Amino acid sequence: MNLFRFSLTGLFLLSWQLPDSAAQQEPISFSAEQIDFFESNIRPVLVSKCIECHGPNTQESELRIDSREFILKGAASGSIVNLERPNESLLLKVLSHEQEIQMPPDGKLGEKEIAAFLIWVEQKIPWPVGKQGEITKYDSYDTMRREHWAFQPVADKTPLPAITDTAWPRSSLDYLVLAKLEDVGISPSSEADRRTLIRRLYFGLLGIPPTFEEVQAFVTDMADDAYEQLVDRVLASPKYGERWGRHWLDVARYSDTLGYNFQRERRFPYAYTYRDYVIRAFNQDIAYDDFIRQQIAADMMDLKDRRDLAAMGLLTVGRRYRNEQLDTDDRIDTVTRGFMGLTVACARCHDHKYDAIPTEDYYSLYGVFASARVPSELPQIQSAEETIGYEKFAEGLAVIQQEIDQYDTKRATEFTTLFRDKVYDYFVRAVGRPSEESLKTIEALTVRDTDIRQGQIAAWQNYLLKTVADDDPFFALLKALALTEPAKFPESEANVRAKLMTIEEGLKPGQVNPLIKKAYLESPPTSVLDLALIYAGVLQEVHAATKLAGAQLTPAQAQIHKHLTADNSPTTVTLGNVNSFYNRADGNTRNGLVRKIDRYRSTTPGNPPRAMVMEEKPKPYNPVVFVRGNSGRRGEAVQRQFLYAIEGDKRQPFQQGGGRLELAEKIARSDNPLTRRVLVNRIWMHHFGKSLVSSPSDFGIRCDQPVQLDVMDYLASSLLENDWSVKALHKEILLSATYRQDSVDRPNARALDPENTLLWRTNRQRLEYESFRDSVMYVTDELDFRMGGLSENLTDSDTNNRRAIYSFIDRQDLPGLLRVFDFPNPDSHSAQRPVTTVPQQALFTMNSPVILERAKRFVQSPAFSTISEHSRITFLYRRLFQRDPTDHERRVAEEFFANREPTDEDSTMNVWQQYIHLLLMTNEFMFVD
Amino acid sequence: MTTKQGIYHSNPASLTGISRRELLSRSGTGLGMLGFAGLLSDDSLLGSLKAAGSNSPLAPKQPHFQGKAKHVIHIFCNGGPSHVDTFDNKPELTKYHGKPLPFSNLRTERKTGHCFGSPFSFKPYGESGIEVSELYAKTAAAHIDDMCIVRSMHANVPNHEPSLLLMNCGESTLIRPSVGSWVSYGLGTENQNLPAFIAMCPQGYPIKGAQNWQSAFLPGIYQGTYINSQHQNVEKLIANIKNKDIPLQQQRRQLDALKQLNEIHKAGRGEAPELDARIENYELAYRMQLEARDVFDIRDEPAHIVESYGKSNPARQMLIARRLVERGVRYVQLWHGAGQPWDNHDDIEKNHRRLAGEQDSAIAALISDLKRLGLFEETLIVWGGEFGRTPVVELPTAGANAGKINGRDHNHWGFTVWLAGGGIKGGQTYGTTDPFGFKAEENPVHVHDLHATMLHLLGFDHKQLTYRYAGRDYRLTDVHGEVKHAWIA
Repeated sequence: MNLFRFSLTGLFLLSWQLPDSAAQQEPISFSAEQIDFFESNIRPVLVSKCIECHGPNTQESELRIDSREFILKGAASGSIVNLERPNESLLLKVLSHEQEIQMPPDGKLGEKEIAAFLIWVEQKIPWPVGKQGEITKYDSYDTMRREHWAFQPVADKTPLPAITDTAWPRSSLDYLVLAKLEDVGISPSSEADRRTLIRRLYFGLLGIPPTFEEVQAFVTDMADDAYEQLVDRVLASPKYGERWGRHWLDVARYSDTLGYNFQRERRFPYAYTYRDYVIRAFNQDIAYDDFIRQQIAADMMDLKDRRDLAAMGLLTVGRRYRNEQLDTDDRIDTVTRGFMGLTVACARCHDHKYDAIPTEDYYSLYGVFASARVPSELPQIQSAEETIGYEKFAEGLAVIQQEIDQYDTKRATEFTTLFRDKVYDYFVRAVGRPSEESLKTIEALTVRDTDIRQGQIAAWQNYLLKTVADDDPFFALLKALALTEPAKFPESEANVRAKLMTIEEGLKPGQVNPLIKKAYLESPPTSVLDLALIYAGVLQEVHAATKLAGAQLTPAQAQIHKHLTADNSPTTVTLGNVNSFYNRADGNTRNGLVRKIDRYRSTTPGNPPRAMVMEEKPKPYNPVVFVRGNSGRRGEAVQRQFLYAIEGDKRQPFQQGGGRLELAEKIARSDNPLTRRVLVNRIWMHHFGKSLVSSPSDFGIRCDQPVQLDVMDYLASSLLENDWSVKALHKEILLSATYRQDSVDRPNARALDPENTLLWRTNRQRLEYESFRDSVMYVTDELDFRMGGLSENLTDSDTNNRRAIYSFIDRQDLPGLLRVFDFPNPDSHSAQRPVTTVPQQALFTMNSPVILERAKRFVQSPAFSTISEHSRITFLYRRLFQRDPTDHERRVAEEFFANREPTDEDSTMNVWQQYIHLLLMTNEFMFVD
Repeated sequence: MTTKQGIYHSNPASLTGISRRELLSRSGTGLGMLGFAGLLSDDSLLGSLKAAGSNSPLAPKQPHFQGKAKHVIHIFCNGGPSHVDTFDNKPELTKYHGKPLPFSNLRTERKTGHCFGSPFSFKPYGESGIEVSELYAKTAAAHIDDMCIVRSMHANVPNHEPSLLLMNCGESTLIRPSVGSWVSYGLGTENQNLPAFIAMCPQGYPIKGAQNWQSAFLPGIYQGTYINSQHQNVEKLIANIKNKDIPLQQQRRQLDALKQLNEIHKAGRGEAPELDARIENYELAYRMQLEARDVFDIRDEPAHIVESYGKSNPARQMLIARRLVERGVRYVQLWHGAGQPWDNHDDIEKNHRRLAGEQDSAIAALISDLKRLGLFEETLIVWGGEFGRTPVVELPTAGANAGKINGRDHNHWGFTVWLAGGGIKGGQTYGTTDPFGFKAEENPVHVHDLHATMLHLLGFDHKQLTYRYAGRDYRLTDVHGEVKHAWIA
């Protein structure tokens, strides 16, 4: 039936061999009807009620019930079924709670179920033979797949429920909401006033308030569809992508740095291209299923817009652990929780504790992502010509690049000289491989062991093995003997020497160079080390000869010397191979330069953007289970394929490459029960300040069916009807009467539904950090609406007034400011931001120059200073709150101005500046009704 | 307020984000249990929550059982202090000085050579007669009988980064909350005007930076607040603690007007705890300005006290730590300095003498001070690094050391950590390394065991202090950890 069952088979084989098994004495033969009876009445109960404590993992009271033999074997206290007198079976007594022991512990089975067990025992416990009989984890997975709400297909739109207040609904989803409210006798709240509605829309969709004029225009717009027109206008604003893009960046654990790196630059030079893709995707309303595909497998798709490659930042902007296993784990987690609300990463070390996710499935996905890699050069998604400031950037880059080249060139020259001068030391070590002890006895050595460049030793070995021909006139002798075992050396050496006598002296292949012949015969070697010393001596001598004034090499010397000077000599160091000779100290110096260039690329405008893609490895990775998550403990091989939880045993292994695109397709399929619901829930959460499902990224077994499942499914169906348009989904929600309700508290309704699960009002929402900061900048005329490009430091006061989504996010050192305002930890996918209230937030608004400067400057700006004194309070209220002040509020202001004190002179903020500052601190500025 | 429903009424999710219900469900069987026991029936706790002014996630909470320790001061010798030069005397090593070990060198990060006897002299101290090197003569002379010297610590690898994370967060590579974050999450804090968890390091960050005090998936408020203790000016210590434009008196006037406007705004909106919480939050912040200035300003300490600690940055931050603990801060971590000052691959004699010199008087003074104030019994002091150092000398590696052959490499196989106060049974040593000090031998203690025991001293079953995240219940000790009851009084 499937591949994984055999993990339990071993145990079953054991059970067949139990000597006291009654089963072996009687012939087992059951009719098809009896087996059917077992399958439909008994197995489901065993799986859902018994196996957890009496199965392969635990055997309470030493009882297992996952095979017929185990049941016949019984428990510690003895047999549990009596096939002769079924009524007396302990099993039945325990099930019917006639005994002190009562099972299942969480509640008695139904009468019908207990009766079925009696019949089953009377039939002598029929059980299918062979593999079909085994109860495995897949049985309980099947139960989950059948029973857990989130795995059921998204319900098609059904006829709307009957309601009493038929005047209220504005959309179909309102019927679903109202029916539940009417059930408990709560009426919906009245519709919010127009100023509240337009503020709600602006903050919710754009993250900044409307202007007073925009509010006025809407309040006085008498058109029937004034609200709908407004929704369309706001959704069309490019600021929408900047607001909703940030929501998605939480899901994507976006950061501009790779995390910790001691030596190298930790900025990602191109993370921003992913951020900009996300903003564009929302603004262009890229269909959500395409949005999924592009982020997982844009490299495997035909793209209309090359910039869409940047979508794959989803996979690559995570923390880099310098460990492929952990990087891959992060990708699996982000993709599965982010798109499907499944916590697949929980199954890294063992089967998921709760959900239908066997550890094998984790490794199936592991195989998909481990079949891809980050290419050494990322693809450019915009040409140099199209990139503003490219020429200046390129000039600067060339300067730094030159520094690196100069360093490499200098070192290459130095190494070449060094390796030739010290050829004796290196050659002896490369060929003679002397032990530590014998090294001490070689007096001619001049290089300390710790100063040896290991790369040069390897280069000599490589050269002799692979480049030098066996009949080389100089090296033939060495090649004949260098790999000889010590015991055989005397014999081989004698043979070689005998042959040497027969070879003609000369400089052609097959002849022998007279200089080496002479040196060799002077004192024939007794070991490989000896041999190395002879050669090293000759090489050293020839090299020394070249250094004498007016040196003229003989042809024999010249031939030898060529091994030191030719382009392919191991001692010839070039820009191409200098790297392999660097020791730690050189590496540190060079890393400093590389870091400089990386920093330049990451921070200088004009660098043509590149997409942070992954690409398929030349060969797909064939996954095995890592037992307990330990890559050193390789378990069984698994296929690259989709999740059992979703496809059951119908699934097929992926076919194309590593299967990334196929995985994306599986996630984006309309019959995936999770994908659309997860999206609908996330979008709902941001509009209502509260999600329909309590754990937005965990729709697994521990996630209760939401009260508003029908609303969720209704919207999920609409999403499909609208070809996965996210903007259409917004619109459907925003036009509803449910969304348009007031947020005012109603004690009677609250008594019945304190958590507002039934949606009898809108939840008041506090601005997130980004919206708060952007709004402060906006109302004081300082917000810079330039879109896209490199991230910038926005936590300082003066440098930059761009929207907060363009903040440089360093995951290794997240600014305290962001943290105290609940910005999510960018090290992993974030399902939902917490909303904490801590004094550090108040200190920021009270004391930070980021806020104070806005108040100070605004008062000095013409926009304010040209307003006459008596109109200023009204002006400010319209500016900040899009309404006129009440008399009471005016009095508070006048009192504040009147209570001046001598200490005022110590202040560097005048009273108007202090007043604006305090208005920015108000709850009205921070909350959206 | 004592009924279950009452609690939920006053705590909609929007108030603190982590509403109590959510907190209960996230804390699995851990805080869930104490949550129901503590939050639903304990009126005094509700009272103190109210007193705290908001339903802050940092409000004080009851642990699983009555712990002896209420505060932790973790003195972190970052870089790795040498145990054989401080608290683990090895006469054999001196005997073999300059000779090879009788067994082969264990693998550490770099190449190592022959035995390197400690250049420091050891002698027994106190009634317990525990031997300590001259580097910690003052601490040992005054307090050895209150200290539990654990000589058999071991970690996983000989590299700084993973070992720092293991010691601080219980996991070498993956992103997990730090010990201080777990403790702040479990216990909240006693002073709402100060952060619950403070990490001080003069002149910048240690290696791995803020990751050492990260909250990871716990809410950001549980992350350690970093303070560069090199500064003496409070404004540089805590972000936005002072308004540079508006004097306090005027700010008070501003906040009074703000409060009036917020009350006007609230009228007609019915019960709105999220609005109340933010109103109250300004008052809290206002008080915090005063309190924080006070706590970091040591000018009001008597001269003899300041002198007893000494003048170094590490000494001054120990004095500040005492003032923080006095005011109810839960967890204070003191890093010796930026980078990895204790990482003495070269010149260990000179450097360890200097570093310990910056600490010895201060630790002695800190413990005396805590005893004088009656805080010693409720303050757990932990001293140690991310690992120890090799008993054998480090050999030259260009670019990695200065090649002087007078330092020690990293050693995760065996090292020393000591604990005092907070329920620790003093005057004892626990476990041993081999006769040369290379590897933990008798009663080895893994870092997870240290964490389990620290949590135990604070009143937690380390297996029950959990947080549900991404479908799983996480805990500090993962699937490891064994409480060392022998350390406990």
